[in-house]
Amino acid sequence: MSIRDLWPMLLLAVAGGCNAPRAVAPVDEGELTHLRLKPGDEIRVVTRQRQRMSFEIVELRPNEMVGVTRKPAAHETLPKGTAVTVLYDDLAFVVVKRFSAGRTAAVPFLVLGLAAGYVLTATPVVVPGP
Amino acid sequence: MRWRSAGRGVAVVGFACAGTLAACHHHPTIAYPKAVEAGPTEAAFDCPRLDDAILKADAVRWVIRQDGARLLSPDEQDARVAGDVALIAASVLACFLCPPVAVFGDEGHAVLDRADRRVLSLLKIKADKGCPAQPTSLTGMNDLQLYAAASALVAEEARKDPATDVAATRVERMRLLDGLRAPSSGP
Repeated sequence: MSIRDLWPMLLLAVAGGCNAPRAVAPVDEGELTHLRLKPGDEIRVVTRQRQRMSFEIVELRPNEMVGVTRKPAAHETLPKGTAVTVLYDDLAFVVVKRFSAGRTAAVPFLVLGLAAGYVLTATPVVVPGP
Repeated sequence: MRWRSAGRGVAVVGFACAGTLAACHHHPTIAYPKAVEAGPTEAAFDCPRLDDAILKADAVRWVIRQDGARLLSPDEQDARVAGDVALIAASVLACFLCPPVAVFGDEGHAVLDRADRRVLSLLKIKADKGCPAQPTSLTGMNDLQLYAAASALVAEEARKDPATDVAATRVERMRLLDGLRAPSSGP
């Protein structure tokens, strides 16, 4: 095992850290504007009426967003390609993938920690001789 | 007292073994929002907006429940912590670079507990403001009566009286809050 073997883990960690899903409940955390939603974003929402759906935003209107559903995730019932309109007032929460500075910053520490663990576990122990 | 402690230890080991055999039921299918207890923002809401916030908090809780989360008894919580420590230690010893082993987790206990507390805190504001009660799916119980019953259970649990059956109070709390939404307010 060499340092070369750590590269796949590093890449996985960076990919996971940079695109962490972020869930926001508008009532808890104010307006949706800080999510910087825009047409083309793929989001998952849960509405006040307990509807779960994943869709790509086509248009953002003053009081609602219009989209087309993606492949349904677990517990979602709308088939892919369905046109949907969701009022902002109906949103219980929204999940959108966003860059996560915290997780990304943690990556070097994670890799260093793994490497240190590897060194500790891979270093042969010399049993003192007689 | 020593017998009681030994009995608790046996229960923990028993639950750990049972947990090993039984698959975990909580499989998050979506990232959950932080469920924080209602504060000054919600305290300023009028009654219709409070009902709206309660339905949204209930929708968050419903998603967590739909993903299989449940409140654990104190013994089950202890067992899962012990089991997770053992599993992580075993995986580190067995193979450092193996993929992380599946751990028992807490069956979504913590996230569901926070969601419960948010719903209850919103209901408290509603009760304090004297807002009109809404029906629930529980026969003969409106949402304010449900709040009174559920908050009494939480208070009973918080007293940490050894005579309290915490597992039973948590099961009852789940039953009550699962029934918060009237059939007509959801799909």
